[in-house]
Amino acid sequence: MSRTHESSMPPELRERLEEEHPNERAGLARVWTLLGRVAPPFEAPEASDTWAAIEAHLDDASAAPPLRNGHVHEDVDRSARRADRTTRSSSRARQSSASTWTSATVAVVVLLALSVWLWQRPVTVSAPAGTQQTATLPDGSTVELNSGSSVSYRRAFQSWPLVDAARRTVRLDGEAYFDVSHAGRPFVVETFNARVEVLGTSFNVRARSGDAAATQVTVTSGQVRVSSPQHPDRSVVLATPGESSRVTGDVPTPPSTANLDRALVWRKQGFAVTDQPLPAVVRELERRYDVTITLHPSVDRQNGALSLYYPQRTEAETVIRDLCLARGLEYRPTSRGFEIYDDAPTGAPTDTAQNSA
Amino acid sequence: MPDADTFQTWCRRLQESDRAALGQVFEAMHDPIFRYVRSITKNGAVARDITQDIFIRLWDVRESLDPNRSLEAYLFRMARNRAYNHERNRRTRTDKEDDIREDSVAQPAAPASPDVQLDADLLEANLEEWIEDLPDRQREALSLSRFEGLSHDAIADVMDISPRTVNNHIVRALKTLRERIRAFEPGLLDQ
Repeated sequence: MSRTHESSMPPELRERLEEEHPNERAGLARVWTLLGRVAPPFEAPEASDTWAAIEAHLDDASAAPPLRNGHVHEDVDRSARRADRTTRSSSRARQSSASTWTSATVAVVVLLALSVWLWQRPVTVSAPAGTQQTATLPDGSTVELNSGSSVSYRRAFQSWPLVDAARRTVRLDGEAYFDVSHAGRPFVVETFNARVEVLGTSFNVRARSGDAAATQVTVTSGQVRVSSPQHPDRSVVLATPGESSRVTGDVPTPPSTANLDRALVWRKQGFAVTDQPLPAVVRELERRYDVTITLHPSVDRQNGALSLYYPQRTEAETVIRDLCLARGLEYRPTSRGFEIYDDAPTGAPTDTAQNSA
Repeated sequence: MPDADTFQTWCRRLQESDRAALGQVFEAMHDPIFRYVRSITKNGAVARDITQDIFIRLWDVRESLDPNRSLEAYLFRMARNRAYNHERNRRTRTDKEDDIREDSVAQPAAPASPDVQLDADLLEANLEEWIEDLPDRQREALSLSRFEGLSHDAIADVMDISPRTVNNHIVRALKTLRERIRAFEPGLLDQ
């Protein structure tokens, strides 16, 4: 009976258990089997968002050749591990170096490579899920980041040490409110699918890839120009407070009037979604409250768009309760958050049949 | 989990700057890497960022990859370094807060009720908690072996310890878990 259990056991472990008393062995093998019930311990999130972000990053960097000094990373990793090891057990003998002169040269070269690499690495500020953060950029502009968002930019907005780049470029993943200070150089926000160019103004950019992927730009003062990288010529200018444009495909939508309170409610710890499909609303809640929300297969994901608006700070559970009420769904707490399910799915018997099949 | 040959092929293709290979590695390894980082950082958003960073870095260093060394172990090792670095930075930042919080959290778990009609969900939830309670290195070795299916050699490489120590960590973890299961419902151990 325990044969099947032990078959999934690595050979090294099985051998090691031979050293245990036979009574012990059976019990430990049984624990190994029982652990099969919890695997995997964490549900991984949708990988598509992460992949989209990686692709965007690589496309950005595709002009640059791969790092010739890639081994530097290995060296960093190794020295970190070595330090780690020495703190763990200082008894390990240190290897004698062949020649102090060559190692000094190598050290200088590595140090130089490392500092250039560190310098050209963009600075990233992020607000993890469940938090918000305000950052001041090198030119004095400020960025307020919504939960689960990050901005990155070149050190001092320079293209090379001490050389100013032609524009102040910021890469945004997620949602942020920008208050840009006037300076000679244009200020550019790049998202996974759009480009927002300004001179000095304040505006909100919401760039979420994944479900209902879009970049939405709303201006609160001044003037901004929105375009997509594919068609930089077909841009849209937003010049009146409250005007908004959205990029989903190649061309931004013409300016429309948005509800400013609603678009910026996240800055007052409120919560709002406008005409979003259920999975996108769920992702937004996960970011905002740092909880895991699972959608049971019985839930119809396609069914229409949702709008929610909470002007003040509201508990995650309240929002979920309202959402379920609006959609005729139920929810239950889980060890990591909530699960939303449909008690009486209308067209869903096929779903359950598929699951049991 | 893909076999060693597949990883070696990916490694070669990455060296030749084949983007499709990166996509395949990502697809195969995103979930295990995410889970591993998350198990160390305990924060989904951070784990997501670190996971993303790892695959970008893999692409950056593609030309210096060594097909004769395990790509799988390399990915997990990057994950481990970044996750622990993040934890170290976070701890130094919030040392005081954590100390206070730990005081209030570190209460002994309520004794399990001797319910004969044992709910499978209940055992699962408890097992998850007990795994969380294991010393870091034991939990790490156990999870990599049991949940991510890494070989002992790969785990030794990732954790920078000997395969023998990997075994010892896992056996110690199994023994601890056995005692907790025994205290919870001894019947679960026979069969």
